[in-house]
Amino acid sequence: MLWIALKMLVGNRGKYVGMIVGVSFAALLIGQQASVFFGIMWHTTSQIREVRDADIWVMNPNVEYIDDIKPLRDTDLYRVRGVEGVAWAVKYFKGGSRARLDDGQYQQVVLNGVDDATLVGAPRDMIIGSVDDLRKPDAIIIDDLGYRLIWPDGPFELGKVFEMNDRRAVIVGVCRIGKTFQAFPIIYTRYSEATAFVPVERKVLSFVLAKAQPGEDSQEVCRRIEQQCGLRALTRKDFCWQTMYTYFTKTAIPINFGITMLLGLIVGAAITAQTFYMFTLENLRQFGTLKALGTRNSTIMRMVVFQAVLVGAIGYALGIGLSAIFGDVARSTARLAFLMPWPVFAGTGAAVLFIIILSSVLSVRRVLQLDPSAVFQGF
Amino acid sequence: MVAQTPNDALVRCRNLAHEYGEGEARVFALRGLDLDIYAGQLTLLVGPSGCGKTTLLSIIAGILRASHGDVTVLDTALQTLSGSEKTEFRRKNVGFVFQQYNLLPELTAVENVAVPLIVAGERRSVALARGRELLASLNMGHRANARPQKLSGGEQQRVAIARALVHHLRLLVCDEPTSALDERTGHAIMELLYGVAVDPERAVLVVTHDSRVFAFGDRTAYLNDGQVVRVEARTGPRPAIAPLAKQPTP
Repeated sequence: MLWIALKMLVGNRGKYVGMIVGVSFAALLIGQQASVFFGIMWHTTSQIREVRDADIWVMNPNVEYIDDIKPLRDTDLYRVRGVEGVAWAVKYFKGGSRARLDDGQYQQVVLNGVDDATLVGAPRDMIIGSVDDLRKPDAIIIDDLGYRLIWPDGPFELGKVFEMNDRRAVIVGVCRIGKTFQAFPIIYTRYSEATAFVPVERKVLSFVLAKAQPGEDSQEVCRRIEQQCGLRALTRKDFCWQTMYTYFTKTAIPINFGITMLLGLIVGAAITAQTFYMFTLENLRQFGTLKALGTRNSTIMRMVVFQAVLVGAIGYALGIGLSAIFGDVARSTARLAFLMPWPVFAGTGAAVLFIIILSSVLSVRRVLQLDPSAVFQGF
Repeated sequence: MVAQTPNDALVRCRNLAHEYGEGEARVFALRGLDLDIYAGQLTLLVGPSGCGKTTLLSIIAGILRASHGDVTVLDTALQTLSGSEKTEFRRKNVGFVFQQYNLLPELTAVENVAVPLIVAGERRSVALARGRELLASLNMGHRANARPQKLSGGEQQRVAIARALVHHLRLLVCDEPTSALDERTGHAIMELLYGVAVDPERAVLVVTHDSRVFAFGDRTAYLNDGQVVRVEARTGPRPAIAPLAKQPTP
């Protein structure tokens, strides 16, 4: 009987296309908005993920996310080094500064100060220049998008100069890093230089980056650091989750995206459910005839559900496919956040399933209530 | 024609009553009606609009439950059957021909004919082959792959009759099968139905108010105000119409 259901469905081309468009629209909007949301969340952790040498981040116990800087005492570094299981620990500075450009304009920048001796925390993916050049006086490395923000035209050039905190900074390299939540240029320099690029404060140590000894469990080492030093210690992965959690719970980002996704779901469900219901009403004569001819209610129900599932599956595939194409285009656009992990597919699928169930329930109910004797009464 | 007793009847209606609505809106469609319908005959139900013809047809076909009284079809008391049992009963025993044909517009003629077999669980290829054979026997083989909207009214009704006959049902109920057709086509359709009724195992029940087809009735039951006011049996010889080729029982 399903082939009859299929023929009934595709035979009414207008409604068939209308229903698919409804589901596709919902899937596209939900998938696309969810992907942008995940992309933004992913961007918030970019600077944590860029520090690849260290697997433990030690911070003030009140720090909630990467940009929430509450400085430590310099002596905390040595206390961390003294914890059992710590292979090494280095200083890491993170803060904001203001760059004064050669044309007199100002540009807010994000400043990262990496360990002077080891350069732990420095970027790995250099487009031009070398990380080792950070050892030169006043040397900084800037990310490519930040460079383009300041100097939109021309090729990347080393030796360009600007000032931070009335101190000269010389570009010795341009790097490529993961896109960040903020649109400011990302500057890397040595810790000693970084502390000079910002106004003097008593405490300037933002984080201590540490590595667990081989064979030691990072989580366990974090626990020991917290116990012995009274600081907060998180693995890189946990710090990423903590940062995303904070953005999720303390900003309006999820609400804004949630509203758009909800609207997509409501509009998609309304279009699809109504069109499917109208489609069913138009086919009542056919369903009534089939019932009169001895088709069981369960079979009729299977036919309606099959039609809804087919529309849902095609609509989902189109919608999520269009989302992916959007993402592909978005990725080629510098700062647009877009990430499609499996929860986007699953969540969008769940939304489409909800639409299908809603559409099916309304239509199945109408068809099951249909009295086959109506076939003699002309509907 | 051999004299028949009520025990020979394929359909027996006794004291049949049906009402629609409740309270002041209640309408009595049938009021204690008795009627027998025999195999090997074409029975006409005639009467003015609103006299209860279609209600009676629906009850006999097993798609409407009578409010009161007994109706026995093929020795099965329909009032004792549950909804699903009635569905099963219809699938196995009752063929339908509708005034507006009720063909599925998205299916071809042969696919429409095959529907009852598919409903009964037959494989599609087998059902289509049987549908094609039946259409050919009704001189509709050349239109087997046409969709209903491409067929004339008479062709559509032939397809509908083929659908009703495709798995050798014992009772064929027809609701105004000729009212949407011109006289010549209507006559041809009645000839076709009459060819079915010649089969001694089958009964054909036709609701009509089309006086042009009254001559085809072996028995004609006149209804008025929900009751059978008289039944007339044919007195003269039957029209010389060749019986329809019998289809194999599935």
